[in-house]
Amino acid sequence: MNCENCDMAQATIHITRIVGGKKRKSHLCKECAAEKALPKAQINLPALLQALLGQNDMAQVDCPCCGIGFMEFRSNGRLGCPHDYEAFRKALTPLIQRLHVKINHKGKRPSRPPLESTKAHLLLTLRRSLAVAVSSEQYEEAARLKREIQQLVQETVSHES
Amino acid sequence: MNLDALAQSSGEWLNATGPQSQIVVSTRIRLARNLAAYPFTNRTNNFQKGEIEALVCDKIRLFSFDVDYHHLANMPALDRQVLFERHLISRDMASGEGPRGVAFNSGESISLMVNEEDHLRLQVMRSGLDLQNAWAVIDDMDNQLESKLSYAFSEEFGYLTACPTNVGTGMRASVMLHLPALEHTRHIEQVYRALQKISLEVRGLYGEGSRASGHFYQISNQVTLGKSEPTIIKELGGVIPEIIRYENEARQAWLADSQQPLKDRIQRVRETIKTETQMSCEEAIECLSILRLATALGEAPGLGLAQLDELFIQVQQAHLQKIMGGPLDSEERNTARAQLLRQKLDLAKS
Repeated sequence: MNCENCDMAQATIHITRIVGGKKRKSHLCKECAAEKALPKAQINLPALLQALLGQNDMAQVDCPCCGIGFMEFRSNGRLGCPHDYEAFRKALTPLIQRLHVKINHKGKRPSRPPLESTKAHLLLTLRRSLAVAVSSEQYEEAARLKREIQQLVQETVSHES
Repeated sequence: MNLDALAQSSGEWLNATGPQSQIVVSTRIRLARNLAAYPFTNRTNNFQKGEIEALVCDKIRLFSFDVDYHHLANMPALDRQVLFERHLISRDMASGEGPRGVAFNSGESISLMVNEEDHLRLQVMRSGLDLQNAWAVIDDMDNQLESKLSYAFSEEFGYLTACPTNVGTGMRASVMLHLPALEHTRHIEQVYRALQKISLEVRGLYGEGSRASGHFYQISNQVTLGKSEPTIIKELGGVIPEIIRYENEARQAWLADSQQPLKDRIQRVRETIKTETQMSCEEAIECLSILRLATALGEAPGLGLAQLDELFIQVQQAHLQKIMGGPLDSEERNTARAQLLRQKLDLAKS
């Protein structure tokens, strides 16, 4: 019998209560039983990720734009940049399908064309390189990267400023 | 905008004038948006956060909405806590670090958080059950911003967010309900279960991870991808009248219950407020909740829902210290809270 609360795990805790003179039975998994007295907590994303994704071939994958490793996302549940949806697509697809109805955006969309993805990725990569150059005190390199970013931003002026 | 003055009153969304205000305190819609060419907030450094903040501040000057931007980086902790208690910023933003801030209008019905979990979190609050109007306003805000900023968007995944739970529409629509009678009859658990089955989420007074203190429950959509915003709003809006009906039935049943009479409970609360010289925040919220129920049922002449809803905010610790004009330790706050309730409610007259 599945848990009547989450309908995912097996119900291992069976509670019988008398409410208003009537007998009421609850069949819950261990986790739901623990949470029962409180409003449903927000989805525990890291736990869901661990369960869904496990150790797989994504373990070695890093995003080329922001540098976040897939394992880092798996442990804290937050992506590093918009490009991660592509970089981690293989592992994200089942997760997103589980969280939502289906992977098919049906809501509103920006009225003007979004920033060209190659430019957005280049800017993300350059900004990451700039942050590294600054933190390692490579100021000449940092200045060069800053100029390159400014130039790219100006080329896409209607988008970025 | 003077934050000291802010604490003396409440936002217009708490004035209890909206539809179904006796049970529905407020409606909130938020949209999560990110800039395409920056890493998400958890990967941005302070320099990048500063750039994002400057970029957004520049754009909101052209907004048709009259908002003031408040930098949080150098704001005193007490002021940040006031903004959190007023639902204008999240708990994480109040306690966070680095360039970040919030723009909001004088009625506090619209706000825009910058460098929250996502670069932008747009929020619209309305009194009562008012999902359609809330959506119309936030859609307009969003259109005005996206005409000037390049959002991270994919045809397949929609608006891209730091957490995949928000991807797609990036929209969380929620309705805050006051459900003391369903909690009293313990039917609230059935409501939870029914809502979970249709992918709606139930949270406490202060959103995710918070307890349902004061018998307040926020019901919101869980799914953000694969459905349009109007569909999500329609589905959420469709179940709320049912919950209101159950709560109304439970209220009438409680009024008629001779074993645990509601009128006795109301009277005990009145006595508590009149006589107690110390009151914790939790006790105050519990008392206010019963008085809100009594007022909605016409059992507390002289009291108003808006007055009580304002007090739910003012009895919290940062507001209390602002109202009393200085820092207070825990015991002093409990004294001040009991005093504030006695003064504001003046139950002898009601």
